[in-house]
Amino acid sequence: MKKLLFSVVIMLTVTAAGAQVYGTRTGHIHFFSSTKMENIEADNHSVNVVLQVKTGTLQFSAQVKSFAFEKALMQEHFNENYMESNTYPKADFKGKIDNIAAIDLTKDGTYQGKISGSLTMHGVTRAITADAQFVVAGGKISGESVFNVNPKDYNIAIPSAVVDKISENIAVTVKVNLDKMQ
Amino acid sequence: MKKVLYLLLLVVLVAGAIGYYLWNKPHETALNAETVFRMSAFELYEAFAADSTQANRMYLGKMIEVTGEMTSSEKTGNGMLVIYLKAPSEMGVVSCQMLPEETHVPAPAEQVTIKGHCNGFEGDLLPELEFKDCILVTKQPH
Repeated sequence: MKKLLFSVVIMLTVTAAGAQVYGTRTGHIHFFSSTKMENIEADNHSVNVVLQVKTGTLQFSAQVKSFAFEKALMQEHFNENYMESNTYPKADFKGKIDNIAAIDLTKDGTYQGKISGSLTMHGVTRAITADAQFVVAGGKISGESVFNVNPKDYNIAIPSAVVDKISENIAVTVKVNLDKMQ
Repeated sequence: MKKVLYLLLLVVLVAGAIGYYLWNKPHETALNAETVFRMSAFELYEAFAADSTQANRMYLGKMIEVTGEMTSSEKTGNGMLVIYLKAPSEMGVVSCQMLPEETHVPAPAEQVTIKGHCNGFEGDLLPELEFKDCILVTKQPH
């Protein structure tokens, strides 16, 4: 009897913990490279995101080939020359909300989060930090964050001929609407 | 001398035309690219799940027609239709982001064939085989 009770308690605990997972398969990452010569931007609307609201564990995964540019030629150069997406098809982030103890993402409200973790792309993993804003309403969590990435940090070589056209501070904007997952 | 000038002018014109063409060349999508592989969504998903390195070499970036069972759909933040096909793993999906002109949503459990770019596989985090620039090849089940 005790055993049965114990396993019921465990089952309930596991179920409750499982219900605290939020995620999406259609997160949005936008990047914007701005120089005097040229502005370059691209969007990926099929980013996978998983957030554990209790622990603050946060993970992103994006297919590099799913970044869409206005010009087909730019998209081709991005994939073939810079990101080498045939060799490194994915970019991902694994990290956490550092101040999760201070914010309750199960309650409606607007919260400022401090994010830290490791960003992997082009075969290089680096530690990054970013500020994020979370809005919890109606059982959904939306999140937004902006941070900068320098291509050099990820061994992305910019040929001297186009060095004036690609910024060393590429602004990355992340926007996600997370639903509770089963 | 005049001949050289004309030749130079011709070279400049041709180079300009090539540059203009390249700069404005259309995006490759399911509407203008040839299908390279035709297979079932299960078969392709399993190839990636078993050996993603090998499957990437074979299928990544290729224009593929996949046939599978429609499970659900949703819209991305910029209003694009995403059709999800059943995958052999319970947590997994085959996602197909459709072209803007593709608005027909198949019925759940309908067998559909979708043509698009195979953009990659995610094995750990929300397992997913991702397609983009897609069109629905079959509007109705046979």
